[in-house]
Amino acid sequence: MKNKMVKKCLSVILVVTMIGSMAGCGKTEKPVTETKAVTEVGDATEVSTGTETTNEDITITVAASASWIREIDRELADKFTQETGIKVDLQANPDDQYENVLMTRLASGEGPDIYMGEAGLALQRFQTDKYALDLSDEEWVTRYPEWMMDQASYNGKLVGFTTWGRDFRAMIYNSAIFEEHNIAVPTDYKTFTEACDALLAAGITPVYFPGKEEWYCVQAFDGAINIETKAPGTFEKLNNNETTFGESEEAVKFLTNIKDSAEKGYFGENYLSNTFDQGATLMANGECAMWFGWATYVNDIEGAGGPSADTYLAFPCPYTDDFSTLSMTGAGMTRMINMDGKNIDACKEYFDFLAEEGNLQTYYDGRTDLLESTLEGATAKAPKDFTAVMEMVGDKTQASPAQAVLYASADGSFGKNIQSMFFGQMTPEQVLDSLDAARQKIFEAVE
Amino acid sequence: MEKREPQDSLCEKDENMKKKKSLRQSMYPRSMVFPAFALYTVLFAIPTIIGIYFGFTNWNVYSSGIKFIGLDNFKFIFLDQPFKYVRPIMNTIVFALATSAFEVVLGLGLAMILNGKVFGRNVLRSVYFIPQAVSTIVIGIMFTTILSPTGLLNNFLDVIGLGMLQRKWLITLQTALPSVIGVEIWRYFGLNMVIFLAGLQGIDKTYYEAARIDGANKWQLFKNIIIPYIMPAVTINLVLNVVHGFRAFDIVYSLTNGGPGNATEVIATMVYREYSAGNYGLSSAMNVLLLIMTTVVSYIVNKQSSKREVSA
Repeated sequence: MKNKMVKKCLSVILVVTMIGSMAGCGKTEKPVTETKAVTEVGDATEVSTGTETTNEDITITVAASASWIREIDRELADKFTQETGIKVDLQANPDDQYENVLMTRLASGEGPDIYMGEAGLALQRFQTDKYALDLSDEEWVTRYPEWMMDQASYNGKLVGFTTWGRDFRAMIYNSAIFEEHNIAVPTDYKTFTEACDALLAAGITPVYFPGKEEWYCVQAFDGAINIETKAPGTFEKLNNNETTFGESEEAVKFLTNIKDSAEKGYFGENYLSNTFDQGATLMANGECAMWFGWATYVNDIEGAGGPSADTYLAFPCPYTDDFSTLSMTGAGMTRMINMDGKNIDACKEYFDFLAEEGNLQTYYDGRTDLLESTLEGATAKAPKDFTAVMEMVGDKTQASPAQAVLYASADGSFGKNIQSMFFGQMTPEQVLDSLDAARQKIFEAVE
Repeated sequence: MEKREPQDSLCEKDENMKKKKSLRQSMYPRSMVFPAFALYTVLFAIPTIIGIYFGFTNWNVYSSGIKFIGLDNFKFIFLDQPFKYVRPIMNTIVFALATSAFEVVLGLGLAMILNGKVFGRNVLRSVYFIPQAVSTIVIGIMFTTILSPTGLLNNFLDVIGLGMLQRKWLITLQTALPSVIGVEIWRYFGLNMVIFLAGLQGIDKTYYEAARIDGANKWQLFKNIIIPYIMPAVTINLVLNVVHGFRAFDIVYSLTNGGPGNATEVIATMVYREYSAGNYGLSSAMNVLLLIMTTVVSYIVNKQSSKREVSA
């Protein structure tokens, strides 16, 4: 009898403890604290006690993917705090989880005050209509160039404060190696293959291609602007679901040319085990002569012990067979204000601070990887390869498929499918078919 | 004839009283299950059911609404895009079955050796179990280096005169999946060994003595005594191995990330890939597929193994 009582009591205590621990996981509200405001009236100093919030009590949270937060962002955030008292909490999230974590937080009402995301069409991934504050009336908007207005807007509403700027997708080449071996700068795909053959004959790997990196294979398709330049209106048709990538001869040609280059040995023997990190070193020591990517790769090459960044110039993506237009990415990452946030005024003050000419120039001085300023009043230092290739195409640029085509990143296996194409497991048509099927699913879902 | 009714009624009364007493006693622990049952339902059962439901919807990052679409996701997997999804499904089955079989065979072999009088057997038991305790990411980094074209394995083969066996283990289509399977077997056969050791040590030695007296040889001892009495351990190991094999993600992700191409892609890596692309409904559908496959195969394995169990 006594044992039974003991058992019952212990069981009741256990149940109460379990329930209590679950309740303890709930929200706790901070108690309201009184603040004292000191105001000077003439020669006297009045001390009034109220429940007003001062800047010192405000912390604005800024969520971003870990690799998007740079040292200069932290320096400017500290400077903002010193000047205004408002604290800035830069919250770095793991790169591959950021989007999911952010959307979960926004959906549950626990979203940050400011969140970063890719500008342009990618804004749709963040349900921008639902969460992003309209910033169209902010002063700094008047300092955006025309192309930036599109990049920072969604459904007619300007939502993004952007400082990253565009970059190109072009073939960077070592001009010293080209001169040494009397190789002419290519002007179409045929002359590109001739240049590669000449480099192979000289014992140099023509193109560094980090085939092991899935993301790099996806970005290689950023060069496929021939889809639009050779057949104007195709991007619009893709966005209206009136055509598919598979039906675009230019898209098939682009992938076929990349595959052809790989099969001819232009990427080297072990390109499918090359990683991105090795590229700067191999370009620096002259083992490879070309590298398809963005403009500031040249700074990485110089940093890896290579010749001056000015040695490297660029020409448009050769797989398009169109050397008259340069593929450009979007404006990179933008900052948006959560319309359900509690510190909207403080966030706007933060954006105004970052947009001030002096702070903006400090930003671009600290971001040597950026090519152009997105706001009037500051300048970025673009490397020589960017200016050279812009001169070559007469400033004629085209937004890449990732930037211009709806749901271009819908296929999570796109990079892997391109790798499969190199292995012969999939044809270029099947790679595009997979992308089309993924896009079609999204079109059906948003109807 | 004797009248037995009074005794019968006494016995019946005894029985009824015993039943009521045991019922009263069993009522007490039964009601205490409810809190745990409630927690299990809220934290496991309901999310699982909701997750299964999402597999029949078009939930994705681009639209705010979720629509029930029936079997469309499964049609997409098997009929619309078979070249993309069928290979991971086949890889998963091959991976689960191959790792299960080899882990059981090697684990049992090693357990039998280390169950006998072997010098340093306690140290050896620990050594073979250590891979189980090492983080998967560490194993992935380690074996990526060992299996690289210029890594330890190829160098070793060269040194012992077997240079013709050198391969690009993780970056060749033909050897990538077998290499991943090999690493997984290396990681888990130690656990199988430990479970088999416990089973072997549970067999009464008098059975061996009796069999030897009857003239049984080693093979007959193994076949007629060890195997029947160790079947519970075989069942446990097979079921654990199969379930673990079907759910494999970390070892594939850390070694090859599904590559080269999609040669080592498995269902779990495809689930992760679709989820990362924002195709939550399709990702959930692949999870449902995985759940069905795991449940069916582990049920069959459990059923077949249990038939052969012998109680000691």
